[in-house]
Amino acid sequence: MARLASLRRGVKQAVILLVAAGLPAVVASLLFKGEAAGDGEMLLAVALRHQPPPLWIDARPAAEYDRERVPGALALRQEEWETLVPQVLARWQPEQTALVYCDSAGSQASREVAERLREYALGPVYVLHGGWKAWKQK
Amino acid sequence: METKVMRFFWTALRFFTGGLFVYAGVLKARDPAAFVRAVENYQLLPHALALAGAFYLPYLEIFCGLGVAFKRLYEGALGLLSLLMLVFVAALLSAWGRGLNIDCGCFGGDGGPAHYGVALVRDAVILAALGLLAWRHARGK
Repeated sequence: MARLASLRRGVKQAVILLVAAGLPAVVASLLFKGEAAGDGEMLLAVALRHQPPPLWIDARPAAEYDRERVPGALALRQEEWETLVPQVLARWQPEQTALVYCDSAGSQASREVAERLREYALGPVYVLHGGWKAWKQK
Repeated sequence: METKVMRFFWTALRFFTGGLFVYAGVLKARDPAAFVRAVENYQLLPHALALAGAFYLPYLEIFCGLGVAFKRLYEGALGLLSLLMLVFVAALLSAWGRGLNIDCGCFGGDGGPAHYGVALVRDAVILAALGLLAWRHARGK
C-alpha cells in the first residue's frame, strides 16, 4: 500500500515537473533569435516568424527546385550563378534577410551560395538549419 | 543511526547529482541551436521533434536537478532523471552501434566527437547515484 502511494506521489510530482519545464521552454523558444545560432544558421521556427519575411533561396539542383520548393523561393546554384543571380538581386530588398537552403544540414551547397551572396552585402544571409528536409517536416 | 559523515555523504551526493543536471541543463539552454544540432546528429528524431526537445529538455533537467538537490518533488524528479538517463544511454548505444562520429550533446553541443565508452561509464555512474538516492528515500530517509 505504502509503495503504491509512493508511486502515485512520484507520478504526480513528475507531471508537475513536466508541465513546469514546458513554461520556460515555450518562452525561450519565442525569445530565441536564430542569429544566435552561430555559424550562420537560422532555425526554421525563427525563419517562419521573421519579419519582414526572408528572401528564400533554393540551392538544390534544378530538377528538385522544379518539382517542389518553398513558396516564392528563387533558384540559385553555383554552376549557374551568372544566369540566376540577376533575378535574386532584383528581388532582394536592402537589409532584407536572405535564407538559403539545400537538401540537408550536411550539404555544402547552401553554405557556398550563402558565402557568395554575402559578398553583395545587401542584407544578412543565413543558411536554413536542416535545409529542405526541415521544411518538409514542419 | 547514521553518522554525521554518512549524512554529509548523502547530502553531498544529492547536491552533486542534482547540480550536475542543473549544470548540463544551463549549458544546453544557453545555446539551443547547438543542442538542436547535437540532437539531430543522432538521426533518431525528425527536425520538429528535435527542435522541440532541444528547447524543452534543458529546463526539465534544470527543474529535476533542483528538485533532487533541494528535495522538492523528490520522487518525481528522481524518477524523471532516471528515465532520461536510460533514454540517453539508449541513444548513445544506438549511435555507437551505427558508427556515428558525433558529439554526445550531454553538456550542450559542439563538444567534439563523443568517446562513447567514457560517456556510457559516466551515465552509468549517474544512474547508480540516482538509484542510491531513490533507495535511501524508499527507506524513509
